[in-house]
Amino acid sequence: MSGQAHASHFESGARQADATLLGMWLFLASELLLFGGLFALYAAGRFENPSAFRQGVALAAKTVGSLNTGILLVSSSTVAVSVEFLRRDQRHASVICLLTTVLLGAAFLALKFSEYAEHFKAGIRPGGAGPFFATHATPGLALFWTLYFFSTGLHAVHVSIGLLLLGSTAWRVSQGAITSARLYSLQNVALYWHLIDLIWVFLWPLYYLA
Amino acid sequence: MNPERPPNAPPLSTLVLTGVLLLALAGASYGLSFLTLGAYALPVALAIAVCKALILLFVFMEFGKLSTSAKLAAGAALLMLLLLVGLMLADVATRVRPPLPPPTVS
Repeated sequence: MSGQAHASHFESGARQADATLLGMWLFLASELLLFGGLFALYAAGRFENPSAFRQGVALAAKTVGSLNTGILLVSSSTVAVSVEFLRRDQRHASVICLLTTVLLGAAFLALKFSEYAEHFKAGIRPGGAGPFFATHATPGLALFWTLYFFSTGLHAVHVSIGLLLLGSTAWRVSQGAITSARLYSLQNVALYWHLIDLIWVFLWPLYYLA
Repeated sequence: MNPERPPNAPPLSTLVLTGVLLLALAGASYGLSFLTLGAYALPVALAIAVCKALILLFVFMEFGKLSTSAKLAAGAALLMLLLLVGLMLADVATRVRPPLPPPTVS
């Protein structure tokens, strides 16, 4: 890797790649802590209102949530494969995998918004504001749904940002601006997408399954 | 092929098989959610989630190949997350709730 192009303030391309990856992992660590607050609130809320949280999970759209889990897991695979293709200098295949990931991410968001629409139609809104809560006054149920909207909503914002990053990276790879010599540019976007998947892997059982 | 490709980079077949394994684990979680596991439902679902997270971390995110400083950054974040959730649970579990005073009749 020492032969790759690098910025003047780095001694080598390998050093630049290491620094970039370290910066990305520091960013991912901060993202994990951002979601950590919501996971901690969920833990406390569930500890204090176990039956209300189970009731909330029973009302969640399990099939749509599970379909979205499959979509995200496949998209993580396609982005990992795109990194490997670029490592092999197979740019075209790498771009196709990235675009497939974008399509899968868009499908995730479409399903997520259809899920929100169903909940809103049923009168379930953040903060216990909808008519649903007038007939379902179980203490803790409003907290479950508020956390559900905040956690999955924050996650959806990350998915949207990830889609923009993946799209622009696909464009740059197709134009030859990102090659195997600057693999870390693609690796960082892939890492961000994997983190999105990683967080969903925990949101799914907490809000849809158990 | 790029001559500078690291020899320990996961081959394509490993990445595809990892994807299949992740889907199988997700399928197991989904299937188990229809069984009546009672108090074990959440721990079982979270245990499978941890397995999936480790696979993502070590195969797709290549955590094992990171520099020590990057591993420290990620490890510190995980430690802080566990402390946050653990201490929050300890707080709510050990709270002493004084009995409410009887309602006053005016």
